[in-house]
Amino acid sequence: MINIERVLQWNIALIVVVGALLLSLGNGQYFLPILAGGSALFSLIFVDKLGWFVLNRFAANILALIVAVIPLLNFFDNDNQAQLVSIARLLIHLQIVLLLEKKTSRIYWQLFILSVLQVVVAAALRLDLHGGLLFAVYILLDFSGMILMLMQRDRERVLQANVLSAHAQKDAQAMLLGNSPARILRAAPLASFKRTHSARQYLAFYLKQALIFTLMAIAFATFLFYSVQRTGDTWQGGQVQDFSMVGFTDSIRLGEEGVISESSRPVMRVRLFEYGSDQPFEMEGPLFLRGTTLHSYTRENGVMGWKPTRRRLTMSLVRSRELNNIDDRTDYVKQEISLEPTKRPFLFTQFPALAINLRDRNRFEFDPYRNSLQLEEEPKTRDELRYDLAVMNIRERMQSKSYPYENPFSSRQEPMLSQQESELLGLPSERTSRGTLQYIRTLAEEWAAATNDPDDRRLVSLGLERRFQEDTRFRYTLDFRDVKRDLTLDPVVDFLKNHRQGHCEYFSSALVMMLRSLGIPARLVVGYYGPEYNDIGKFYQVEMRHAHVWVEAYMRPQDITQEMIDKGDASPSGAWLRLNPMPLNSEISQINDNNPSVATRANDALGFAQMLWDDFVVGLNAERQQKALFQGSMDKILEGTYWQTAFNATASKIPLVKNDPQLAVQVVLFVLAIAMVGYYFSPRRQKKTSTRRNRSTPRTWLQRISPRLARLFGQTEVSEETIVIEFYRRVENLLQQSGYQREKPQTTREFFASVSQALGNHPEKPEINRCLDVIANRFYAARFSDHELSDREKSDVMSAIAGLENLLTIVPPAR
Amino acid sequence: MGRSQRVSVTREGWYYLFILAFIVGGAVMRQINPLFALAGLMIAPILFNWRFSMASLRHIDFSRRLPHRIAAGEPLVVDLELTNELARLDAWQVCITDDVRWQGTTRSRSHEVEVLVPGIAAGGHVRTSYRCQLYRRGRYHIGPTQVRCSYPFGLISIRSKKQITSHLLVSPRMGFLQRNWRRLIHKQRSGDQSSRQRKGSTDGDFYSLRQYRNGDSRRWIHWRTSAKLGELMVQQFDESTDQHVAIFVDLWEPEELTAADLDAVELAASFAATAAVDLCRGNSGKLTFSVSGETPFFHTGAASKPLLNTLLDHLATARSSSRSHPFKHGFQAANFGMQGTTLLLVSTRPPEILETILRSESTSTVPGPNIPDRLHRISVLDPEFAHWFSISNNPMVTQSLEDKGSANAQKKPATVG
Repeated sequence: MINIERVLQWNIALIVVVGALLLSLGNGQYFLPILAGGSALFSLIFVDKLGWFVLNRFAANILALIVAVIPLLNFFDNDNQAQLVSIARLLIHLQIVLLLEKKTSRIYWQLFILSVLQVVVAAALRLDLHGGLLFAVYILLDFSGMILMLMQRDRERVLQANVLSAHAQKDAQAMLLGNSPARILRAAPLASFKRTHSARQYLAFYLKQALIFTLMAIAFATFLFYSVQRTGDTWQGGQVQDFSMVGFTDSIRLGEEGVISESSRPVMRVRLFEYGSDQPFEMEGPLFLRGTTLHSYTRENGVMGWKPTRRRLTMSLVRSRELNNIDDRTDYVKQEISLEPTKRPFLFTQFPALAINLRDRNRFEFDPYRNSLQLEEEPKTRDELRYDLAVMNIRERMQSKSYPYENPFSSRQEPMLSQQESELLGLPSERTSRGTLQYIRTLAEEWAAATNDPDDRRLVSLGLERRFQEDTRFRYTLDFRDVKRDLTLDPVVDFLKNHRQGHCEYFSSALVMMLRSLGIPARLVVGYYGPEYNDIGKFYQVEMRHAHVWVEAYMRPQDITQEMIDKGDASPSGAWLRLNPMPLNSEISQINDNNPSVATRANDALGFAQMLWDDFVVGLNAERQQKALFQGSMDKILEGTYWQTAFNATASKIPLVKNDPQLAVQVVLFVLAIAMVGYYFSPRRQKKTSTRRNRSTPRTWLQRISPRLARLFGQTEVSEETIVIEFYRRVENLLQQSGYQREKPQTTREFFASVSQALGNHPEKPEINRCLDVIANRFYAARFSDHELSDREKSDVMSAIAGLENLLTIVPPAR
Repeated sequence: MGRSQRVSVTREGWYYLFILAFIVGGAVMRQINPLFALAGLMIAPILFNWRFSMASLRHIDFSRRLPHRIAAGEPLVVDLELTNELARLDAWQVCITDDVRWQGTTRSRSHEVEVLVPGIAAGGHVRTSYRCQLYRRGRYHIGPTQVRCSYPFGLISIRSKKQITSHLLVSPRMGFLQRNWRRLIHKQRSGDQSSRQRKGSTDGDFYSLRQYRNGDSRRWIHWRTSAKLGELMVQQFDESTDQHVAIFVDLWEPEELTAADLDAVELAASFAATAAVDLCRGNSGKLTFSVSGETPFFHTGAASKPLLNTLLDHLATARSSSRSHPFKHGFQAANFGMQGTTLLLVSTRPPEILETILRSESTSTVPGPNIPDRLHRISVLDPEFAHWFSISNNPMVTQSLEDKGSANAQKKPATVG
């Protein structure tokens, strides 16, 4: 059977678990909701239902104290974010302690409050779309919990009063049986409650109402949320991701084992707009987003890997500068990027890029040596970072294969200087590489010889790239469990010579080293490649799994053509040629599916919803509010023609309206008339009217139209007189059920006298006689007098009937 | 009926508001959007609670029904009816608190009775009731009634006071008449008198109507009712029997009251009420009651329900007095000089004082011969009283009182005639 308190216990348990889950969605650690869920389940079964384990108040207080003190030990050593997380964890632990106590109204309310406080912290930290949906569920649980707690408090009050009354009654009985029973005659009055109805039957209504209230609250909160004016930027949560989790890294280590897992965690969103257009577009080919470059292949701690540079001197000669402004140019594509909060200052874009929006708070700086864009310093806030740039190497919706080289050491358009070349040609020593680099050189020369013109660096570079792409012996993989390595060899050599399996780092490392062995300066580029385009939201959703490494090879002025310079793919100083040596049959190469599946569509919708959530809920700031809501929507709503246009557009879709508007109007009027007539005759309205006219019962439709017909269907009006005498009929029925049958010539009093006589010496006889007296007096008063029974008289009768009914249950029936 | 509504924040509501203030403060100061949303979601329940409860209570009509009088110790059932006049909105978790207040000479004490009604449908009504046990006789005021609603969230409480007051008389508690009483009344009934007064068929009180039968006198046809019903109806009268009982209840109190004195007054009232019920049950004979005290009362008539009601109404509020005179209304010689009238005096005075008063009473008001001898008198303070009346049916108490009585009987001569 449904028990209100049991439902409340489940509700509170769910509140605790969902609250803990909301916190975990922000930081990705699911230990707490598992702990909370286990504790809730334990509490529901062993504490609440079976009562095998109950923490007493003292023990609970001690435990709560311990739970509260431990996090405080190093609380002030943490940063703000960690402090908030610590507080949220503390609140969850306190809830767990309360779950183990015996539940009273006070405990339920404390659990509720702690959960709300903890959700406040979770909302302040980070709340993405999944969290938002779960939040709506949490609110529903809160509302139903509050309703149930109110019912439980009322119920407890009634029960407590009944217990007190029972004690008082026992005292009275003891007094009566004591030595001075007369004392009871002066005892204070006591009262007992009668629980009139079981609330169980209303449980479904209460829970349905909780759902209605939730929807109304969401509507109200939405209105309030968008009405309140924002003042500047908003704090969008501080769950900052470490770059190592993102997939992007500014250093590479080769030789790992095991499986490398991919994550679909979002990193950024990218939108591309052609000049003069406000509609985003999708590229025809894949999208490369550069982050930073890696130049130096060295051994560190016994592992071979790539680092940005080993030439500190070089870096000290190169000064970062601001991006050039766009000025009056029109041959660009606008790129809008929203980057998730990050600790590192790297930004992602294509090159060449020019500045559109420079923000004082996060100033961009451009490193011409590495052609990378970054912030001047670590981001000041944990906000999502948005920046718009103009990129120059997208033409006809395709990203160019190369982009112009800009000499960082010279303001004149000079080719790459030797010191930079030497770094980009650097190979590890034979000792470092264990004397196996010769294999790379040999292989490179072999592959170069197979190209059309081994002296054409561009063709050689493209040829080597194509060789990696088309040679079926090479296989892309993230699973190194079955890859047999030769640890005596350099990992790149081992890759090329033996297993030929690996991911982008191996392929790109191999290509760089092969190019360098041929005297072609080359470097690794780390960034993102091939994100899926969200057709609904019209943006590229870049995720961690899209992190990629590719190659840039330097083409000298003699390696490029004038056509390339004219197109903007090169400069007189040369060009950087982009090479992506991934096997064509690998998954990473299969992008831009022109026939998206249902799952893809669903994914797109989800991504779009996430974008809306990020922009218009979590990230709603003054600017966006003004532009999108106040100016955008309000202008439309206030515009007169908007409504007319909307109405015409809607009406034109209805065939009847389209073909014969006059008939449509007649149909609408006819339907309205039927509705009005129906409302006039509706029982609900009749009930209201009949109440005003002091009718005892409302008239149905049928009674109003044809009372005779209504009687045929058993719908009869009940008159006041019938109701008055009805109590006597009820008494007769009661007595009849107990075997007392009135004979025809018997008057009421004679009948009651015969009943009294039949009772003999039954101890309840006086009481029954008293009830019958009252009933008889009132019956005669009602039957033979001119006035109606007063309220007091009616009350006397009802009480007497109730008393009689009770007494007849204990009196044996007449024979 | 007056209504006034009062809005208050419950304890839980204050906690809730505190947290809400914290959230709003955080949202505004740090411009944290999720907290704005959470604040909106938390403001909504307060508004809903306030408006919902207000709307529910404003349209709830309330009425109370209870009997005019009950006996002390008897369960009192108070029926409540609540009507929801709103056509579209149900009312939920409505608490009705009735104030039950005893109206005594001392400062009135009140007791609150709370009834919870889970739901009243829109346009509907609910009948509910609560049960009370009132052990003290007297007049009670029930009301005003407070109707309270905190639905749905228990954050805001709306209270409405309905100035509907009902009055209830609680007559003395019924006890158990013991063997001395039974002997007294049984002796009278068993024909110990030498003569019986015959009464005509016209004597007595009207108590019923019935259909006309052959042989009924046309004088007793009730024409008005006959016209109404379309058939002849005759009145029936109550025929009196021969038993005449006169009971004098002397509610006396000393100048300095003790608990025992108060108990004695209550016992005397209970005995009188129980005796009256016993005598009126049989509906035979004439009954005279004289109650002296603060407000003397005298009534005589056929032992009937109306007389019983009148007597119980008076006994409900009868007060003792130090100036009480047992024979305030005196013996009416014409009535009580006749043989066959049983006279009983119940007094709260100590037995020795009672005897003194009886002996010193002037015989000028008692013209009949041997009346003092025929007068059965008993003091409530006398242990012998336990043989007349007991408030409880506890055999142990009865036995101990009998033992006391027999012990006293060895010391004093019997006072019962």
